[in-house]
Amino acid sequence: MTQQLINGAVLCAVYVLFSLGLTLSWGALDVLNLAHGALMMFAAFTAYVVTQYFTLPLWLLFVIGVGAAGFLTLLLDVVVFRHIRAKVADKRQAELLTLIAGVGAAGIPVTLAVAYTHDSPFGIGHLESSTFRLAGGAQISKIQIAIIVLGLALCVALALWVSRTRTGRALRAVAFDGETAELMGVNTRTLSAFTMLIAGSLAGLAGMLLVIYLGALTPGSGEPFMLKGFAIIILGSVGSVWGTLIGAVVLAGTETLVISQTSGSWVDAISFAIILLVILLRPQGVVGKGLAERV
Amino acid sequence: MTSWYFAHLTLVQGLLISIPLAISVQIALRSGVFSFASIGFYGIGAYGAGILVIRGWPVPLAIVLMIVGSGLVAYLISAPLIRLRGLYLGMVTFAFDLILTVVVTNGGDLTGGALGLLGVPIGVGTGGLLAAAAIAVLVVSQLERRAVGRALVGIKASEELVMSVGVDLKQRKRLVFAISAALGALSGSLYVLTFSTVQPTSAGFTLIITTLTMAVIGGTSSWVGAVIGAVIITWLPSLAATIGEYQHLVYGVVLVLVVMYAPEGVLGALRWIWLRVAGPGRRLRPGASPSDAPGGPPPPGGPLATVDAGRAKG
Repeated sequence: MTQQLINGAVLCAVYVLFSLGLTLSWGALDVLNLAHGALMMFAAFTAYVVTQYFTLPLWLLFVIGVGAAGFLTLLLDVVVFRHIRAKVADKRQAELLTLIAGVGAAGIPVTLAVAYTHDSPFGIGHLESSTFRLAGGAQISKIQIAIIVLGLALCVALALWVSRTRTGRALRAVAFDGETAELMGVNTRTLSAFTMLIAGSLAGLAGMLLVIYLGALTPGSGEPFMLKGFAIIILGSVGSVWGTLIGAVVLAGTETLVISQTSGSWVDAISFAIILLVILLRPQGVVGKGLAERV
Repeated sequence: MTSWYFAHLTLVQGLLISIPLAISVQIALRSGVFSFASIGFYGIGAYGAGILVIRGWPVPLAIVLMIVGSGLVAYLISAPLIRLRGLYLGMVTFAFDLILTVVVTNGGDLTGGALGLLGVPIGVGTGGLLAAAAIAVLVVSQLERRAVGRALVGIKASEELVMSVGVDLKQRKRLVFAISAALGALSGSLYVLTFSTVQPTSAGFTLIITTLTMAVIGGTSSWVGAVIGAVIITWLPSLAATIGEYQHLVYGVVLVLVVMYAPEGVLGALRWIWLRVAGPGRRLRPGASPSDAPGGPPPPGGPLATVDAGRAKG
C-alpha cells in the first residue's frame, strides 16, 4: 500500500511537470502546443546522444536536456507561432494554424530520434541510486524523492509566480485580453517567449526525470503523454496551476490503482476515458478558463 | 505507359487511397472544424473492414458498412463535440486518434495485437480504388457547389453572419463531422483491402502528420487542394530517394513552412498566378480593392485573414 502511494506520487509529480507547461501556454497564449510531448522525449534523447560521446555528470546532463527542450520550444514560439499570430488577424484561424504547425514541428524531433535509435528504447543510465527502507517493507529511492520534491516545489513556485509576481500578473492580463494588456504596457512578445521557454523547460524536466526513473524512453514516448496531459489539464481547467495538480493526482491515482489491480495494458486508455467523461458531464468545466475566465 | 503504370502501381494505389482521407481533413478544416477525427475513423475503417472480410463478409458490404457506420457514429457523438471551442475539439479528436492505437494493440485475437491484422484477402483492384476516389471527389465537389458548401465557407469566415441568415450552424457542423468520418473510414477500408494488412501504428501520429500535410500543402479551400496535396505527398518520397527514413521530418518542416508562409497552399498560389497571368484587367477594375480577388496576392495574413480582420472580435 505504501509502495503504491510512493509510485503514485512519483507518477503524479512527473505528470504535473509535463502538464504545467502545456496548460501555461494554452491558458495564457492560446497556444495548444502539440509538439509538447515530442519535445519532452527530445530532452531525454538529447541527453542520450550526449552520453554517447562524453561522460558528463548528471546535473550537466539535466542542464543540457532541459535546456534543449526549453530552447526548442522558445524557437518554435519566436520563429513559428509568433509569425502566425502576427500575420493572421482572426483568432480562430490563428489557433488552427498554430495547432497544425505544432503537429508538423512534433514530426521533426520524433523522426530524428527514430532515425538515430532505429526506433528502439534509449536511456542515459544513472539507474543505480540508493534506496531507503520505510515501514511496511516499502522502498523509496533518491530519484523518487527528488522527483516528488521537484514536482511539488515547481508547482508551488509556478503558482506563486502567476499569482504574486509582476510578470505573473502581466501573464494573467494577457490571458484575459492580450490587446488591452499590450496597451497597458505589457511586452507581450517577451512575455510569450518567456512563458514558452518555461513551458518547454518543464517538458524537458519531465522527460529527464522520466528517462532516469524508467530507465529508458522510446521515440514515441511523447504521444501517450500528450493524452495524459490533455486529460489532466481538461480536468483541472486550462491555465490553472492548482487545477493541474488536482488533475495529476486524480490521473496518477487512478492509473496506479489500475496497474496494481490489472495487467496494466489498458492504462493509457484511462486518460481518454477521463477526457470523454469531463466533456460529457462537465462541459462548463471545459469552457471555463483557469488563468482568466473567458466566455 | 503500361510499363510505367505497373512500375508505379503501389504509388497509384496509395494515391487513390489517400485522396478520400486528405479530403476528409480538408473538408473539416475548410469549415473551421478543428477535427483530426477522420484519421481515427481511418483506423476504424481499416480494422473493421479487415476483420469482417477475414470472416467471410463480401467486400462491398464491409466497405459500405464501415462508411455508413462511421458516418452515423460520428454524427451521434458529434453533438457534445461540436459545442467545444476550437482548441478543445482539436485536442479531443487528437486524443481520439492516439487512443485507437492503444485499443487495437489490446484487441487480442480480434485485432491481432501489436502485430496488427495480417493476411486480409485483397478485395479491391485499382479500378475499384479509382471508382471509390472518384465517388468521394464527386460527392464532396457537389457539396461544395451547393448551398451546404457555401454555408461551410461562411462558417469559417464568420459564424455569427452565417447564423444571422438562418443557417442551422450546429446541424451543418455535425454533417461535416459525419462526412469527414465516413471519408476516413472509406480510405481505411480501401487501404486494408488493397495492402491486406494494418498495424496499430498505421493510424497513429505519423498518419496525422502525413494527412495534414496533404490537406494543408494543397490548400484547404477546395477538394482540388486535397487532391493536389495527395499527389505531391505520394510522389515526394519516390522522387527524392534520399529522404527515406527522414520522410516525416521533411513533412514536418514542409507543414510548418506552408502554415507560416502560404496558408492557402498550392491552390492559393495557383490562383494567385492565374490572376496575374490571365486576369490583370480584373485586378485593375476601378473601385475593387486587391483583397476582393479570391486568393489574391497574399497581403499579410492572406485573403482569409483580410476578410476576418474586418469582423468584430467576439
